[in-house]
Amino acid sequence: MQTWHAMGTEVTLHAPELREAQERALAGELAALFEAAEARFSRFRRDSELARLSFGRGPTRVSPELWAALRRAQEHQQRTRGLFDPTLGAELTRLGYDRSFEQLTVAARAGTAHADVGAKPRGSVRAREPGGADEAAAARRPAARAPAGPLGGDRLTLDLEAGTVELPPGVQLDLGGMIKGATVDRAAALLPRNALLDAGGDLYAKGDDPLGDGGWAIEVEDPDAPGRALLELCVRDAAVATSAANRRRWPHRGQWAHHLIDPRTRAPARSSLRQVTVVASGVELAEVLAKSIYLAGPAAGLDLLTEHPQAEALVIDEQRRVLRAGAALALACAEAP
Amino acid sequence: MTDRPSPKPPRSTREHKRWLVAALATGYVVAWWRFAATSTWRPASEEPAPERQVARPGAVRWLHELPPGQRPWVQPPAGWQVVTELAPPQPAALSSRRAVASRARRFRARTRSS
Repeated sequence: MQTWHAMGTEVTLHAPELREAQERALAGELAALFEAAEARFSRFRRDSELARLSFGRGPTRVSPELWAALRRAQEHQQRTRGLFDPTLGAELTRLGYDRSFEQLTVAARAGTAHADVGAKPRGSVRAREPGGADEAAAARRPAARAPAGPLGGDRLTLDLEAGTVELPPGVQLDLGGMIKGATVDRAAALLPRNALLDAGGDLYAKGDDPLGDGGWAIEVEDPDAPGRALLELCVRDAAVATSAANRRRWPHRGQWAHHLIDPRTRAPARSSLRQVTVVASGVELAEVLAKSIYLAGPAAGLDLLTEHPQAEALVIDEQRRVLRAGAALALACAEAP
Repeated sequence: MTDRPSPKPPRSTREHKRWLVAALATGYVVAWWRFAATSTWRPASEEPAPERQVARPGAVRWLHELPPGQRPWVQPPAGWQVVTELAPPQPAALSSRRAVASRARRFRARTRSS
Protein backbone atom coordinates (compact mmCIF):
# COMPACT_ATOMS: atom_id res chain seq x y z
CA MET A 1 0.00 0.00 0.00
CA GLN A 2 1.34 3.44 -0.93
CA THR A 3 0.32 6.75 0.58
CA TRP A 4 1.17 10.32 -0.34
CA HIS A 5 -0.14 13.77 0.43
CA ALA A 6 -2.02 15.74 -2.22
CA MET A 7 -4.87 18.22 -2.46
CA GLY A 8 -4.88 18.69 1.29
CA THR A 9 -5.48 15.04 2.07
CA GLU A 10 -3.88 11.63 2.20
CA VAL A 11 -4.13 9.58 -0.98
CA THR A 12 -3.81 5.82 -0.68
CA LEU A 13 -3.18 3.28 -3.41
CA HIS A 14 -3.86 -0.35 -2.61
CA ALA A 15 -2.91 -2.72 -5.43
CA PRO A 16 -2.28 -6.04 -3.67
CA GLU A 17 -1.49 -7.95 -6.85
CA LEU A 18 1.46 -5.70 -7.73
CA ARG A 19 4.91 -6.17 -6.32
CA GLU A 20 5.97 -3.40 -4.01
CA ALA A 21 8.31 -1.81 -6.53
CA GLN A 22 5.58 -1.79 -9.14
CA GLU A 23 3.10 -0.36 -6.68
CA ARG A 24 5.59 2.33 -5.70
CA ALA A 25 6.22 3.24 -9.33
CA LEU A 26 2.50 3.45 -10.00
CA ALA A 27 2.04 5.61 -6.92
CA GLY A 28 4.68 7.98 -8.21
CA GLU A 29 2.86 8.27 -11.51
CA LEU A 30 -0.45 8.94 -9.79
CA ALA A 31 1.11 11.47 -7.43
CA ALA A 32 2.33 13.41 -10.44
CA LEU A 33 -1.23 13.46 -11.77
CA PHE A 34 -2.49 14.90 -8.51
CA GLU A 35 0.28 17.48 -8.38
CA ALA A 36 -0.41 18.62 -11.93
CA ALA A 37 -4.11 18.98 -11.19
CA GLU A 38 -3.43 20.90 -8.02
CA ALA A 39 -1.00 23.22 -9.78
CA ARG A 40 -3.65 24.09 -12.32
CA PHE A 41 -6.86 24.11 -10.26
CA SER A 42 -5.99 25.08 -6.70
CA ARG A 43 -7.52 28.38 -5.60
CA PHE A 44 -4.89 28.57 -2.85
CA ARG A 45 -2.00 28.77 -5.28
CA ARG A 46 -1.85 32.29 -6.68
CA ASP A 47 0.07 31.06 -9.71
CA SER A 48 -2.49 28.39 -10.60
CA GLU A 49 -4.44 28.94 -13.78
CA LEU A 50 -7.72 28.89 -11.86
CA ALA A 51 -6.56 31.55 -9.39
CA ARG A 52 -5.28 33.78 -12.20
CA LEU A 53 -8.65 33.44 -13.90
CA SER A 54 -10.48 34.28 -10.66
CA PHE A 55 -8.43 37.41 -10.03
CA GLY A 56 -8.12 38.44 -13.64
CA ARG A 57 -10.39 40.79 -15.51
CA GLY A 58 -12.36 40.45 -18.67
CA PRO A 59 -12.60 37.53 -21.09
CA THR A 60 -9.66 35.21 -20.66
CA ARG A 61 -8.37 32.37 -22.76
CA VAL A 62 -7.71 29.25 -20.73
CA SER A 63 -6.08 25.88 -21.28
CA PRO A 64 -8.10 23.00 -22.73
CA GLU A 65 -7.98 21.28 -19.35
CA LEU A 66 -9.45 24.21 -17.48
CA TRP A 67 -11.98 24.82 -20.25
CA ALA A 68 -13.13 21.21 -20.07
CA ALA A 69 -13.40 21.36 -16.28
CA LEU A 70 -15.45 24.54 -16.41
CA ARG A 71 -17.75 23.06 -19.03
CA ARG A 72 -18.35 20.05 -16.81
CA ALA A 73 -18.90 22.34 -13.85
CA GLN A 74 -21.58 24.20 -15.78
CA GLU A 75 -23.26 20.93 -16.70
CA HIS A 76 -23.20 19.81 -13.08
CA GLN A 77 -24.66 23.16 -12.10
CA GLN A 78 -27.51 22.77 -14.58
CA ARG A 79 -28.24 19.17 -13.67
CA THR A 80 -28.29 19.91 -9.94
CA ARG A 81 -30.50 22.96 -10.50
CA GLY A 82 -27.77 25.24 -9.26
CA LEU A 83 -26.98 23.40 -6.03
CA PHE A 84 -23.52 22.68 -7.34
CA ASP A 85 -21.96 26.08 -7.90
CA PRO A 86 -18.33 26.49 -8.95
CA THR A 87 -18.31 30.25 -8.25
CA LEU A 88 -18.36 30.30 -4.45
CA GLY A 89 -14.65 30.85 -3.89
CA ALA A 90 -15.13 34.40 -2.63
CA GLU A 91 -17.79 33.29 -0.16
CA LEU A 92 -15.43 30.67 1.24
CA THR A 93 -12.68 33.25 1.53
CA ARG A 94 -14.99 35.66 3.36
CA LEU A 95 -15.81 32.89 5.80
CA GLY A 96 -12.15 32.45 6.55
CA TYR A 97 -11.34 29.54 4.26
CA ASP A 98 -8.70 31.54 2.48
CA ARG A 99 -5.85 29.02 2.69
CA SER A 100 -5.50 25.27 2.60
CA PHE A 101 -7.44 23.52 5.31
CA GLU A 102 -4.26 22.28 6.95
CA GLN A 103 -2.98 25.82 7.26
CA LEU A 104 -6.37 26.98 8.45
CA THR A 105 -6.45 24.34 11.16
CA VAL A 106 -3.00 25.31 12.39
CA ALA A 107 -3.93 28.99 12.39
CA ALA A 108 -7.20 28.31 14.20
CA ARG A 109 -5.41 26.42 16.93
CA ALA A 110 -2.95 29.28 17.28
CA GLY A 111 -5.87 31.72 17.48
CA THR A 112 -4.62 33.68 14.53
CA ALA A 113 -7.21 32.79 11.89
CA HIS A 114 -9.68 35.54 11.15
CA ALA A 115 -11.92 36.07 8.20
CA ASP A 116 -11.65 39.68 7.14
CA VAL A 117 -8.59 41.45 5.97
CA GLY A 118 -7.98 44.31 8.33
CA ALA A 119 -10.35 42.99 10.96
CA LYS A 120 -9.04 42.95 14.48
CA PRO A 121 -8.08 39.43 15.45
CA ARG A 122 -10.45 38.20 18.04
CA GLY A 123 -9.43 36.48 21.21
CA SER A 124 -8.76 32.79 20.96
CA VAL A 125 -11.84 30.89 19.96
CA ARG A 126 -12.68 28.01 22.22
CA ALA A 127 -13.31 25.18 19.82
CA ARG A 128 -15.32 22.34 21.20
CA GLU A 129 -14.08 18.83 20.67
CA PRO A 130 -15.37 17.48 17.38
CA GLY A 131 -17.92 14.77 17.18
CA GLY A 132 -20.37 15.84 19.85
CA ALA A 133 -24.01 16.64 19.22
CA ASP A 134 -23.46 20.26 20.23
CA GLU A 135 -20.65 20.49 17.76
CA ALA A 136 -22.73 19.04 14.99
CA ALA A 137 -25.49 21.49 15.78
CA ALA A 138 -23.09 24.41 15.73
CA ALA A 139 -21.74 23.28 12.40
CA ARG A 140 -25.25 23.23 11.02
CA ARG A 141 -25.85 26.81 12.09
CA PRO A 142 -24.45 29.16 9.46
CA ALA A 143 -21.66 31.38 10.69
CA ALA A 144 -22.23 34.15 8.17
CA ARG A 145 -25.14 35.14 6.02
CA ALA A 146 -24.94 37.02 2.78
CA PRO A 147 -27.82 38.30 0.73
CA ALA A 148 -29.42 35.42 -1.12
CA GLY A 149 -28.72 35.37 -4.80
CA PRO A 150 -30.29 33.60 -7.74
CA LEU A 151 -29.20 30.09 -8.53
CA GLY A 152 -27.83 29.36 -11.89
CA GLY A 153 -24.84 29.82 -14.07
CA ASP A 154 -25.02 33.55 -14.60
CA ARG A 155 -21.74 34.16 -12.82
CA LEU A 156 -19.61 32.10 -15.16
CA THR A 157 -19.59 32.87 -18.86
CA LEU A 158 -17.99 30.55 -21.37
CA ASP A 159 -17.81 32.01 -24.86
CA LEU A 160 -17.69 29.04 -27.18
CA GLU A 161 -16.90 31.10 -30.25
CA ALA A 162 -14.11 33.15 -28.75
CA GLY A 163 -12.92 30.35 -26.50
CA THR A 164 -12.81 32.67 -23.49
CA VAL A 165 -14.00 32.58 -19.91
CA GLU A 166 -15.27 35.57 -17.98
CA LEU A 167 -16.21 36.11 -14.37
CA PRO A 168 -17.87 39.19 -12.85
CA PRO A 169 -15.62 41.26 -10.58
CA GLY A 170 -15.35 39.80 -7.10
CA VAL A 171 -16.45 36.32 -8.13
CA GLN A 172 -13.92 33.56 -7.59
CA LEU A 173 -13.89 29.97 -8.70
CA ASP A 174 -13.75 26.98 -6.41
CA LEU A 175 -13.78 23.56 -8.04
CA GLY A 176 -12.34 21.79 -5.00
CA GLY A 177 -13.99 18.41 -4.61
CA MET A 178 -14.97 18.17 -8.24
CA ILE A 179 -11.34 18.33 -9.33
CA LYS A 180 -10.26 15.84 -6.70
CA GLY A 181 -12.94 13.48 -7.98
CA ALA A 182 -11.93 14.05 -11.58
CA THR A 183 -8.31 13.35 -10.73
CA VAL A 184 -9.21 10.08 -9.02
CA ASP A 185 -11.21 9.14 -12.12
CA ARG A 186 -8.19 9.80 -14.35
CA ALA A 187 -5.96 7.87 -11.99
CA ALA A 188 -8.41 4.97 -11.82
CA ALA A 189 -7.87 4.38 -15.53
CA LEU A 190 -4.24 3.57 -14.73
CA LEU A 191 -5.03 1.09 -11.96
CA PRO A 192 -4.50 -2.63 -12.45
CA ARG A 193 -7.48 -4.96 -12.44
CA ASN A 194 -7.96 -5.30 -8.70
CA ALA A 195 -7.01 -2.11 -6.89
CA LEU A 196 -8.41 0.72 -4.85
CA LEU A 197 -7.51 4.40 -4.84
CA ASP A 198 -8.68 6.50 -1.91
CA ALA A 199 -8.24 10.28 -1.83
CA GLY A 200 -9.31 11.30 1.65
CA GLY A 201 -12.58 9.38 1.53
CA ASP A 202 -13.41 9.90 -2.16
CA LEU A 203 -12.44 6.61 -3.69
CA TYR A 204 -12.63 4.27 -6.65
CA ALA A 205 -12.83 0.51 -6.08
CA LYS A 206 -11.75 -1.46 -9.11
CA GLY A 207 -12.36 -5.19 -9.38
CA ASP A 208 -12.21 -7.26 -6.21
CA ASP A 209 -10.18 -7.40 -3.05
CA PRO A 210 -8.19 -10.63 -3.51
CA LEU A 211 -8.64 -11.40 0.18
CA GLY A 212 -12.37 -10.80 0.18
CA ASP A 213 -15.52 -12.46 -1.01
CA GLY A 214 -16.09 -10.12 -3.94
CA GLY A 215 -15.82 -6.40 -4.40
CA TRP A 216 -14.10 -4.11 -1.89
CA ALA A 217 -15.21 -3.44 1.66
CA ILE A 218 -15.92 0.25 2.11
CA GLU A 219 -16.74 1.52 5.56
CA VAL A 220 -18.93 4.61 5.92
CA GLU A 221 -17.83 6.86 8.74
CA ASP A 222 -20.19 7.84 11.52
CA PRO A 223 -20.63 11.62 11.18
CA ASP A 224 -21.25 11.90 14.92
CA ALA A 225 -18.17 9.89 15.88
CA PRO A 226 -15.34 10.47 13.40
CA GLY A 227 -13.03 7.52 13.36
CA ARG A 228 -15.86 5.07 13.87
CA ALA A 229 -17.56 3.19 11.07
CA LEU A 230 -21.29 2.71 11.11
CA LEU A 231 -21.93 1.03 7.77
CA GLU A 232 -20.04 -1.33 5.54
CA LEU A 233 -20.63 -1.43 1.82
CA CYS A 234 -19.34 -3.89 -0.69
CA VAL A 235 -18.49 -2.16 -3.94
CA ARG A 236 -17.04 -3.33 -7.24
CA ASP A 237 -15.98 -1.12 -10.17
CA ALA A 238 -17.61 1.92 -8.67
CA ALA A 239 -16.81 5.21 -7.03
CA VAL A 240 -17.82 6.34 -3.56
CA ALA A 241 -17.90 9.87 -2.15
CA THR A 242 -19.32 11.31 1.06
CA SER A 243 -20.42 14.78 2.09
CA ALA A 244 -21.00 16.05 5.61
CA ALA A 245 -20.31 19.16 7.63
CA ASN A 246 -18.46 17.45 10.44
CA ARG A 247 -14.87 17.49 9.29
CA ARG A 248 -13.96 20.45 7.12
CA ARG A 249 -14.98 23.21 9.49
CA TRP A 250 -13.25 26.06 11.24
CA PRO A 251 -14.02 28.77 13.80
CA HIS A 252 -15.36 31.99 12.35
CA ARG A 253 -16.53 34.89 14.50
CA GLY A 254 -17.23 32.70 17.47
CA GLN A 255 -19.13 30.07 15.51
CA TRP A 256 -18.24 27.14 13.32
CA ALA A 257 -18.29 27.55 9.57
CA HIS A 258 -17.99 24.63 7.17
CA HIS A 259 -17.15 24.16 3.53
CA LEU A 260 -20.56 23.12 2.14
CA ILE A 261 -21.82 26.51 1.00
CA ASP A 262 -25.47 26.76 0.04
CA PRO A 263 -25.65 28.82 -3.18
CA ARG A 264 -29.13 30.01 -2.18
CA THR A 265 -27.85 31.74 0.94
CA ARG A 266 -24.13 31.97 0.17
CA ALA A 267 -23.58 30.67 3.69
CA PRO A 268 -22.69 27.28 5.19
CA ALA A 269 -25.59 24.98 4.51
CA ARG A 270 -28.15 23.98 7.09
CA SER A 271 -29.25 20.50 6.12
CA SER A 272 -31.73 18.02 7.51
CA LEU A 273 -29.20 15.35 6.65
CA ARG A 274 -26.17 14.52 8.71
CA GLN A 275 -24.27 12.82 5.92
CA VAL A 276 -24.67 11.71 2.31
CA THR A 277 -22.74 8.90 0.64
CA VAL A 278 -23.09 8.33 -3.09
CA VAL A 279 -22.02 5.31 -5.09
CA ALA A 280 -21.69 6.12 -8.79
CA SER A 281 -19.77 5.29 -11.93
CA GLY A 282 -17.20 8.03 -11.31
CA VAL A 283 -15.82 9.90 -8.33
CA GLU A 284 -16.46 13.35 -9.81
CA LEU A 285 -20.14 12.51 -10.26
CA ALA A 286 -20.34 10.91 -6.81
CA GLU A 287 -18.78 13.97 -5.22
CA VAL A 288 -21.09 16.41 -7.02
CA LEU A 289 -24.19 14.38 -6.19
CA ALA A 290 -23.23 13.84 -2.55
CA LYS A 291 -22.80 17.54 -2.01
CA SER A 292 -25.95 18.45 -3.93
CA ILE A 293 -28.14 15.92 -2.11
CA TYR A 294 -26.78 17.18 1.20
CA LEU A 295 -27.84 20.70 0.24
CA ALA A 296 -31.16 19.62 -1.25
CA GLY A 297 -32.32 17.32 1.54
CA PRO A 298 -33.87 13.91 1.01
CA ALA A 299 -37.02 14.93 -0.88
CA ALA A 300 -35.38 17.16 -3.49
CA GLY A 301 -32.28 14.96 -3.41
CA LEU A 302 -34.33 12.07 -4.71
CA ASP A 303 -35.22 14.15 -7.77
CA LEU A 304 -31.52 14.59 -8.45
CA LEU A 305 -30.97 10.86 -8.18
CA THR A 306 -33.69 10.07 -10.68
CA GLU A 307 -31.71 12.03 -13.26
CA HIS A 308 -28.70 9.83 -12.60
CA PRO A 309 -29.93 6.25 -12.90
CA GLN A 310 -26.41 4.91 -12.36
CA ALA A 311 -26.03 6.40 -8.91
CA GLU A 312 -27.11 5.31 -5.45
CA ALA A 313 -27.29 7.38 -2.31
CA LEU A 314 -27.20 6.45 1.34
CA VAL A 315 -28.08 9.26 3.67
CA ILE A 316 -28.13 9.56 7.43
CA ASP A 317 -30.95 11.75 8.60
CA GLU A 318 -31.54 13.67 11.82
CA GLN A 319 -32.87 10.55 13.49
CA ARG A 320 -29.77 8.58 12.57
CA ARG A 321 -31.68 6.44 10.13
CA VAL A 322 -29.85 5.23 7.07
CA LEU A 323 -32.00 5.81 4.01
CA ARG A 324 -31.16 4.34 0.64
CA ALA A 325 -32.38 5.33 -2.82
CA GLY A 326 -31.34 5.04 -6.45
CA ALA A 327 -29.68 2.24 -8.36
CA ALA A 328 -28.50 -0.75 -6.33
CA LEU A 329 -24.82 -0.35 -7.07
CA ALA A 330 -23.47 -1.41 -3.73
CA LEU A 331 -23.30 -5.21 -3.64
CA ALA A 332 -24.08 -5.20 0.04
CA CYS A 333 -24.79 -2.76 2.80
CA ALA A 334 -24.82 -3.61 6.47
CA GLU A 335 -24.37 -1.94 9.79
CA ALA A 336 -20.74 -2.17 10.86
CA PRO A 337 -20.15 -4.49 13.80
CA MET B 1 -18.73 99.42 78.49
CA THR B 2 -20.48 96.22 77.41
CA ASP B 3 -19.87 94.81 73.99
CA ARG B 4 -23.10 94.21 72.26
CA PRO B 5 -23.14 91.53 69.72
CA SER B 6 -23.13 93.21 66.49
CA PRO B 7 -26.27 92.59 64.60
CA LYS B 8 -26.00 90.03 61.99
CA PRO B 9 -25.41 91.49 58.66
CA PRO B 10 -28.31 91.01 56.30
CA ARG B 11 -28.01 87.96 54.12
CA SER B 12 -26.84 88.57 50.67
CA THR B 13 -28.76 87.47 47.63
CA ARG B 14 -26.21 84.79 47.01
CA GLU B 15 -26.80 83.29 50.40
CA HIS B 16 -30.53 83.30 49.87
CA LYS B 17 -30.01 81.41 46.65
CA ARG B 18 -27.89 78.79 48.39
CA TRP B 19 -30.52 78.20 50.99
CA LEU B 20 -33.17 77.91 48.32
CA VAL B 21 -31.15 75.38 46.34
CA ALA B 22 -30.48 73.33 49.46
CA ALA B 23 -34.16 73.34 50.36
CA LEU B 24 -35.16 72.28 46.86
CA ALA B 25 -32.54 69.52 46.80
CA THR B 26 -33.71 68.20 50.13
CA GLY B 27 -37.28 68.22 48.95
CA TYR B 28 -36.27 66.36 45.78
CA VAL B 29 -34.43 63.66 47.70
CA VAL B 30 -37.32 63.15 50.06
CA ALA B 31 -39.79 62.98 47.23
CA TRP B 32 -37.63 60.45 45.28
CA TRP B 33 -37.25 58.31 48.36
CA ARG B 34 -40.96 58.18 48.95
CA PHE B 35 -41.64 57.55 45.27
CA ALA B 36 -39.17 54.64 45.05
CA ALA B 37 -40.66 53.03 48.10
CA THR B 38 -44.07 52.93 46.55
CA SER B 39 -43.10 52.28 42.92
CA THR B 40 -43.92 48.95 41.22
CA TRP B 41 -41.12 49.24 38.64
CA ARG B 42 -38.57 46.50 38.74
CA PRO B 43 -34.97 46.48 37.57
CA ALA B 44 -34.41 44.88 34.20
CA SER B 45 -32.29 42.19 35.78
CA GLU B 46 -35.26 40.57 37.46
CA GLU B 47 -37.23 37.94 35.64
CA PRO B 48 -39.79 39.20 33.18
CA ALA B 49 -43.48 38.69 33.56
CA PRO B 50 -44.52 35.11 33.16
CA GLU B 51 -46.25 35.72 29.86
CA ARG B 52 -42.91 36.67 28.34
CA GLN B 53 -41.46 33.24 29.08
CA VAL B 54 -43.68 31.42 26.61
CA ALA B 55 -41.65 30.28 23.61
CA ARG B 56 -42.21 32.38 20.57
CA PRO B 57 -44.35 30.59 18.04
CA GLY B 58 -42.23 29.15 15.27
CA ALA B 59 -39.09 28.82 17.42
CA VAL B 60 -36.96 26.07 15.93
CA ARG B 61 -35.76 23.11 17.94
CA TRP B 62 -33.53 20.59 16.28
CA LEU B 63 -34.46 16.96 16.61
CA HIS B 64 -31.13 16.09 18.11
CA GLU B 65 -31.72 18.61 20.91
CA LEU B 66 -34.59 16.49 22.14
CA PRO B 67 -33.89 13.51 24.36
CA PRO B 68 -34.10 10.29 22.33
CA GLY B 69 -37.32 9.27 24.04
CA GLN B 70 -39.04 12.52 23.05
CA ARG B 71 -38.11 12.61 19.41
CA PRO B 72 -41.09 12.19 17.15
CA TRP B 73 -40.88 9.52 14.48
CA VAL B 74 -40.75 11.20 11.10
CA GLN B 75 -41.86 9.37 8.00
CA PRO B 76 -38.97 9.23 5.52
CA PRO B 77 -39.68 10.99 2.23
CA ALA B 78 -41.24 8.97 -0.52
CA GLY B 79 -38.75 6.96 -2.52
CA TRP B 80 -36.31 6.36 0.30
CA GLN B 81 -35.93 2.93 1.88
CA VAL B 82 -34.94 2.68 5.51
CA VAL B 83 -31.87 0.48 5.66
CA THR B 84 -31.31 0.63 9.36
CA GLU B 85 -31.86 2.82 12.36
CA LEU B 86 -28.58 3.44 14.05
CA ALA B 87 -27.98 3.47 17.75
CA PRO B 88 -26.83 6.74 19.29
CA PRO B 89 -23.12 7.38 18.79
CA GLN B 90 -20.97 5.38 21.15
CA PRO B 91 -17.94 6.69 22.99
CA ALA B 92 -14.75 5.86 21.19
CA ALA B 93 -13.56 3.47 23.88
CA LEU B 94 -16.56 1.22 23.45
CA SER B 95 -16.19 0.99 19.69
CA SER B 96 -12.63 -0.26 19.69
CA ARG B 97 -13.59 -3.92 19.63
CA ARG B 98 -12.71 -5.91 16.52
CA ALA B 99 -13.95 -9.41 17.14
CA VAL B 100 -14.08 -11.31 13.86
CA ALA B 101 -10.82 -12.74 12.61
CA SER B 102 -11.78 -12.50 8.95
CA ARG B 103 -12.28 -8.76 9.34
CA ALA B 104 -8.68 -8.37 10.38
CA ARG B 105 -7.46 -9.93 7.14
CA ARG B 106 -9.63 -8.09 4.68
CA PHE B 107 -8.61 -4.61 3.56
CA ARG B 108 -11.11 -1.90 4.34
CA ALA B 109 -11.22 1.59 2.95
CA ARG B 110 -13.32 4.26 4.61
CA THR B 111 -15.37 6.93 2.96
CA ARG B 112 -15.93 10.15 4.90
CA SER B 113 -16.42 13.81 4.33
CA SER B 114 -13.20 15.36 3.14
